[in-house]
Amino acid sequence: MNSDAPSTGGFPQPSSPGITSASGSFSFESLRRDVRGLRGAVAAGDEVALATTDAGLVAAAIATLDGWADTVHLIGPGAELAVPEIARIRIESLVATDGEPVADDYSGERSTAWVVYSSGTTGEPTPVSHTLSTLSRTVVATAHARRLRWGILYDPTRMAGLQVILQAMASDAPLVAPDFGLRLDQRIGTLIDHGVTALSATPTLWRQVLQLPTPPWPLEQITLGGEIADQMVLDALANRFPDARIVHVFASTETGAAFSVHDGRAGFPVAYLDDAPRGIRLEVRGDILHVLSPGVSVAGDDGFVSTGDVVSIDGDRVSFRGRASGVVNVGGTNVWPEEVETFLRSHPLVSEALVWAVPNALAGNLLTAQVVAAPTDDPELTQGLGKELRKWARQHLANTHVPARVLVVDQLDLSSTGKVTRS
Amino acid sequence: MDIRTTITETLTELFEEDDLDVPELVDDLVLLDTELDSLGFAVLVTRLDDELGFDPFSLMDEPVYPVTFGEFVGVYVDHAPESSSAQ
Repeated sequence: MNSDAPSTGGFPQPSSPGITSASGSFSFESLRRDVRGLRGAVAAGDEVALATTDAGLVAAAIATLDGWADTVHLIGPGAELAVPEIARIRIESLVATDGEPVADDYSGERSTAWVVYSSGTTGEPTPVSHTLSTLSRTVVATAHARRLRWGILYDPTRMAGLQVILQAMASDAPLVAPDFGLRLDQRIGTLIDHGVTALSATPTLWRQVLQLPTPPWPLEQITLGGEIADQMVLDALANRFPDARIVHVFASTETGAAFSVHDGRAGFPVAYLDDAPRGIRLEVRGDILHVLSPGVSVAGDDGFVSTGDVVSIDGDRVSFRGRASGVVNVGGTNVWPEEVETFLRSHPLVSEALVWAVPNALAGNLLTAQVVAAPTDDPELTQGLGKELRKWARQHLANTHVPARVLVVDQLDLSSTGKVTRS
Repeated sequence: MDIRTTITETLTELFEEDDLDVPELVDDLVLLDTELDSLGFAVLVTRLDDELGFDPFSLMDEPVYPVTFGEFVGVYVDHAPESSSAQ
């Protein structure tokens, strides 16, 4: 890391295998024995809320409370208000890192509900109830995973973070978990210092990682999820980390989990619609990708769940066009802001772009874009960049897709899931 | 700067940005006779919201669709908050 990055001193040395976070280093086997004493803090059959930014505590809860608690609400930054009043028993303050196991032998017969809060498009967190098996749908224990040292950048209470934790637990692989509340550069510094070789992040976070002045980092496994991975970020990662296997994962809170693609190309093979990996069943209904996921509370009568992702089929490839809820109507035309973002990011002077709709009395909506200029030695190049980009967009895009404003900013606002915030 | 001047300058800028001929912005100029399309006027309204701090088309009780440049300026003058009209 750069020399002015704060020290990560005090972070425990990783135990292998197991999870290492600021609250300690624990093997998964010891967590299952309840060395952190969660079953002493939560009565059997209780409904509890776990509000934390510490993946170590989430792993402890998964290891001890499934089959013990009635309901566990997983609460990250921003989801606080959506939790029912009854559930506001906090367990994080009750948990000692050296707690005594109170029930190291229990039947686990209870079906525990794990409530995950997704970021709704209206800004109101939406609860989705899962079982541990629906959360673990695509988690596969592999010897390959065990040879890697994993890092986590995601909010550990959200779907993407849970996938990383569950994958490590299933594979008994080491996981390094800097606190989610820290700045990205601090968290990356901890991951590099502790020899992390495998990491999952959103495309937006990966673009930021690519902009950090990191020392050489021998990553072996790179995973992208949570947002559409465009070809540009896939290519940039392949250039920066030539030895890494690059995988983009499709998973969402609504479907529990889904499938991954590792051929380095954006989208996924059209053959997956007939025969997807790992017994997943996919269907395109009205341009929207659906996944068979009968155990999930929002599934339809036939067990299929809308992923909310609009796709198009081009030759042998299914491409993501954007979120169905994210589609905006500009002058009578449906526009996916993500497509305009991808276009803006393809400009050599742009490193990041965020596009959202602003209601307009004359056109229904118009797009506003925020861009971050690419680092350059010649600041004159980025003078008037906003106007230049708008002109460039007019030359290449339909007028409905041209942002009315292009604002040049120092950095984009990111939500707690690491995704860009379209507000 | 008064409202008319701001509108004139913002509109001129928009024409120039889009490589269109800038018409003489007189009161009886029919807006849709210019090369700017309806989406162009929507963009103009967005830009003016930034410049003037209000959007009369979202404030008005009954929709008004100005035909001429003079009417367009009139909509802004009529809906200007007290502080804007004094500028």
